[in-house]
Amino acid sequence: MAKIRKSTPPKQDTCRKIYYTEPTNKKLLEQPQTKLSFDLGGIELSQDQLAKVRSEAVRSAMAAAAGLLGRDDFAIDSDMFSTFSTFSTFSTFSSAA
Amino acid sequence: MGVPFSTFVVKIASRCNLNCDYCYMYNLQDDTYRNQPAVMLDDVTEKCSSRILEHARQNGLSSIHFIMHGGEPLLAGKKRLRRIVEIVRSKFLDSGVEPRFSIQSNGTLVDEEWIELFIELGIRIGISVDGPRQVHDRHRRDHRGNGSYERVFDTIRLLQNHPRGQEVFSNVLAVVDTQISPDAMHAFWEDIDVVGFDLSLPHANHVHKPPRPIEEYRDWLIAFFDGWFDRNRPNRHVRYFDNMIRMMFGYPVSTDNIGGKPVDVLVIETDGSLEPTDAFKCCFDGVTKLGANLVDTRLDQLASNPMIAAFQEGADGLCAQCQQCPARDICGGYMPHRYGADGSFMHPSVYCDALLPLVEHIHSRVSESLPEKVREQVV
Repeated sequence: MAKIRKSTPPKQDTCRKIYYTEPTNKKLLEQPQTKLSFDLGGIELSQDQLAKVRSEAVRSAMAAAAGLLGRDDFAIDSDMFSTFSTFSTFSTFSSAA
Repeated sequence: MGVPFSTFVVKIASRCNLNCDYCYMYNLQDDTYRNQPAVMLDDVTEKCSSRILEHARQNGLSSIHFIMHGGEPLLAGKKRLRRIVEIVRSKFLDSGVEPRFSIQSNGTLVDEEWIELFIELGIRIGISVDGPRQVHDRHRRDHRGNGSYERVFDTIRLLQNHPRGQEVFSNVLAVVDTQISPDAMHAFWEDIDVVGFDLSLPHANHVHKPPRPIEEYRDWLIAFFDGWFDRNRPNRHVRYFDNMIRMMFGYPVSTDNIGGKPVDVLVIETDGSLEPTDAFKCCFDGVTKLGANLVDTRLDQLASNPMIAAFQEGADGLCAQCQQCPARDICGGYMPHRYGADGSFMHPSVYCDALLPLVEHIHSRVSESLPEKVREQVV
């Protein structure tokens, strides 16, 4: 079998838009904090601080959370969605397929 | 009801050309698929669209996610797929509710025409693939016992080589097999070169145990996480881990297998039957049968169904042990994995001894990765 051609990865912003499934219901946004959570409440993350975060995954999560916490209406970009799986169940949803 | 449904897993075909050994649809505890129509016909699609739109309007939703699923959904054929999307779009036209489409496929039937159709109709596709050939073909075989690896990788290559393939394809989903080393799995991921590599644990519970000892899943998940985290590459996502990290920072995610939030997913079978998520099929025969059909049931009416109500409870419906767990709201105690010999779901996940150490490990790694000043403020 021929080796799969390396594709050009999409830009991070595009990637984020096509990859994540975001909740659209306000009730789903009310997540309780647990002992294994980080409390970003009241913290204004600067670009400098974010730049010093080593992991791309953590940087992305912090930036997203800080942006969300700073908004009163908790509006979510409804363009963000992907295949289920999540739903592990597409998702996160796992698939029978 | 707890939360409105906004994600609809629509079974447009109820048969599959593969016979995967772990498949919850066909090879676990539930045989009810045998009584389902092979494909979803127009009249059911029409009613399905009407009910979803009715529900979205009643609950003020601006968009819904329409996930075409199976079985293997491509067995419905190109003509029927086009027809289904046309029916839904037509019903939602000027309604103020936007339908979004995706499809989860085993990747064995995709050709150039399918890709063109996905692009034309705006359907995102996810491909199920379990790893390198020896792993993938161990589980994902056709009904004659032949592996499907070759065909799946032809599909990935087709999608990647198509000039507009990125518009519709970005991620694969793998069921964890601890027999492949995490390093070998990372090498495989490098080779297939996709943005998203999602993981699913084999569906199991306290009655129908996972195929391997729980400690193997713990060690495998932690090692695979470390491999991903240490590589620190943009545009390389493991949604399972991404979502855990995002939840740790208080950012909401939409997935039903972790997090313990009320579940907003509803399954619609080819005959219009309404069911909770398919993963329950690992519990016992007929478990997903609610006795409700689109024809005579509004989706809001499902709120009074005990199974739907329990699934929508989220973390609030967990057992006492889970309620005390520091990882409660990250793990979430995925309900199908909590089924016990006493017939109840009031148990920790059968994967608890893997998930708690994993969440603690991720928390620790994330904490260490923060700049000192930020760590002082947030930990």
